Amino acid sequence: MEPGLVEVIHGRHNPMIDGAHGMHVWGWEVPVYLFIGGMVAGATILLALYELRFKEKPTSLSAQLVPWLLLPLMGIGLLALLVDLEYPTHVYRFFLAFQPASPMSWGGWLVLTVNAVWVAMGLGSLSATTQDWVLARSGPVAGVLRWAFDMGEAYRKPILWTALAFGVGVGIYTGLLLGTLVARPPWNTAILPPLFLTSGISSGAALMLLMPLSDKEQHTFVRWDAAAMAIELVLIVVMVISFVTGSAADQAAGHVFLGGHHMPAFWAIVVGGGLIVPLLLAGFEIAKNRPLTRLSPVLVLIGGFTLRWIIVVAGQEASFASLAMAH
Amino acid sequence: MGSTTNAEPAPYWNPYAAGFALGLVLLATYVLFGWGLGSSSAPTRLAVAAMDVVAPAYTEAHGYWGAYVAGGENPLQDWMVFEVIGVFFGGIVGAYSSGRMQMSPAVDKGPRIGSGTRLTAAFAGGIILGFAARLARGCTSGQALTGGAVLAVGSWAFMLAVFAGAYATAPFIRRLWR
Amino acid sequence: MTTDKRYVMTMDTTKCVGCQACVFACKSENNVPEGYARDWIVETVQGQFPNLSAEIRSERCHHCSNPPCVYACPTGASFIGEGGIVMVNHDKCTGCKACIAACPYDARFIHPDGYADKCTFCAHRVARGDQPACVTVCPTESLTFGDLFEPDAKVSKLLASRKFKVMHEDAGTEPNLFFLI
Repeated sequence: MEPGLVEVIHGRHNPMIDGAHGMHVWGWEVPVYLFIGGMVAGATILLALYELRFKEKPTSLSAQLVPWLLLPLMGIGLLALLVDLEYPTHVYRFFLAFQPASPMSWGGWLVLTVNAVWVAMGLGSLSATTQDWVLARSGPVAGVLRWAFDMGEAYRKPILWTALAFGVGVGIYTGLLLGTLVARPPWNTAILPPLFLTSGISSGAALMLLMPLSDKEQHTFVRWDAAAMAIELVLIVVMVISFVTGSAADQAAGHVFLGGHHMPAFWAIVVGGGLIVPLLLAGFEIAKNRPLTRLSPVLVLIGGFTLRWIIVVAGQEASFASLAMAH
Repeated sequence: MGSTTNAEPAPYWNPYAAGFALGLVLLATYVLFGWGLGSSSAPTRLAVAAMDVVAPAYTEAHGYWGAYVAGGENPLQDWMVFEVIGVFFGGIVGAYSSGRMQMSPAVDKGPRIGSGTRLTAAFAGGIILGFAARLARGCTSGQALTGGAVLAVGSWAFMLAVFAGAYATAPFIRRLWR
Repeated sequence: MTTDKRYVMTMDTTKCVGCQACVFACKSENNVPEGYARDWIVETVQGQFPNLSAEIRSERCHHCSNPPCVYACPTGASFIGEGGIVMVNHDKCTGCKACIAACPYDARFIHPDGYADKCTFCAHRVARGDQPACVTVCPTESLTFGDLFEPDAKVSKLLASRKFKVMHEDAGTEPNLFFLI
């Protein structure tokens, strides 16, 4: 704040821009999309890594069908984004241009193309038994499906690597989108892209751990989820430290997490319930061989959504311009 | 998923050790946050928050509820609400680590009554407890534990009354448990 | 985008009286919807009684040389036009609000018709050789507009001879609205 600034009379009262609680141009639609986008990206990464690492397809029916599930899930997220647009009839404009400097432009193309990647991945994910089941019921299109299944199998490795790349792209671009905006100090950190990526990975793992999986899949995803959550905890601590030790704008951003009215919900629900508790439960599950609960993944999903919500709201409340006038 | 009855649950702590540990937690909360432990404020505030959504004018004008929403304040932004969330999380971790996590719908009760009776009694007792907690401005955690620890006279009176009342009514509800 | 002109505006804080004529002129010239403002007056009071000082500013989009709003736009609707004036192509705008989030001066808003809108330095008037509406109407002549690359332009002379400041320099956007102090 400027030294000795006593009073500011501001003549601008633009709707959605100025008001008691600052800017609110992005409402519930954006955190909903960010959460779903991160979750589906994380699931993609984990499934691709699983098959590349173990050189065998996931055996449970749930894991076979997950790539297909990601299509409608992402559809819900994209619907939220469409609702957010102020000029929705122009939505096609996203796909008549490519602006390399705009993460949102990258994102538009990524989320369009990733659907094709999921179809390709899903074709090859189905076991022989499942494929036969589908073919038996597909009547006239059985020939085309047979060809599609064969293609999915033949090009499995390139498809998996492509899926992995797209998973990372979708999981990270939203963090870049927010992170490159200097005007919103709570977003303006290089930690945000990897934070969103790891949060997406743990949400994706949580999504799959809610389904009936094979022992090996469950064993693997619990451990990979725990690793993602541990990394996410470290990233959050590093982010807060980097805010608190940064410029004046950064410090005001750090205040959001260390004193603002989002602080209790952030530390209790995002860090406590969404990361520390599931990590402890995963630790007991791994160390003492206790059977898994559905509660832990639910807590992770709630924590992941709340993280996106708080970050989207806090970034708009603390604008660069308002920081000069309030503290 | 499911109960952990196939695994051996860990033995319970010595009650005096557990009490001492709880006392240390209470001390820590005073030192770190300036507040003691409590719980009955949390459901109160949750109720006020819900009322504020459904009937904001009534809530604000009310002599008792109005204090919680005065000045546009969010009733959920309160130490006790988050402490209770923490209790929930701590309970999960404790239950899971000791092998007592149960996700089945079984109802804890004595052998001579049905689940419906037990749940109805729990509900009725809960209503009485909630009313009494607001009347006394605290329950066993806020009054007996926290207030008792700082030797507040009202809290000791509350605690003695709780024991007296429980002792007097226990013979009549024995069937719920034995 | 042409590089042979660099349009800038200077705003003399020692002459502005906060009469809001610039605000009304802009609303009238550009059909700004009711309740919205492309430019506005900010009055700040500093110090401790009785040692008080006040500053009155007429603010608007700063038409930055390093505009984060243009970089953030996914469709190219936000672009840098003639003389460095930052413009919005309404047809290409989807209303995604990335540009609004990107502006450190919160100078943009969403027009009721759905597109992102802001001050355009009255590019339509500048194109025919006129000055922006706010500059034309200011009764104390505190607003000056011109081409910084033109050494004889009034803006160039003012910036060469007067002390000036810009807002939120640390945002790094290289704004082109200079406040003479």
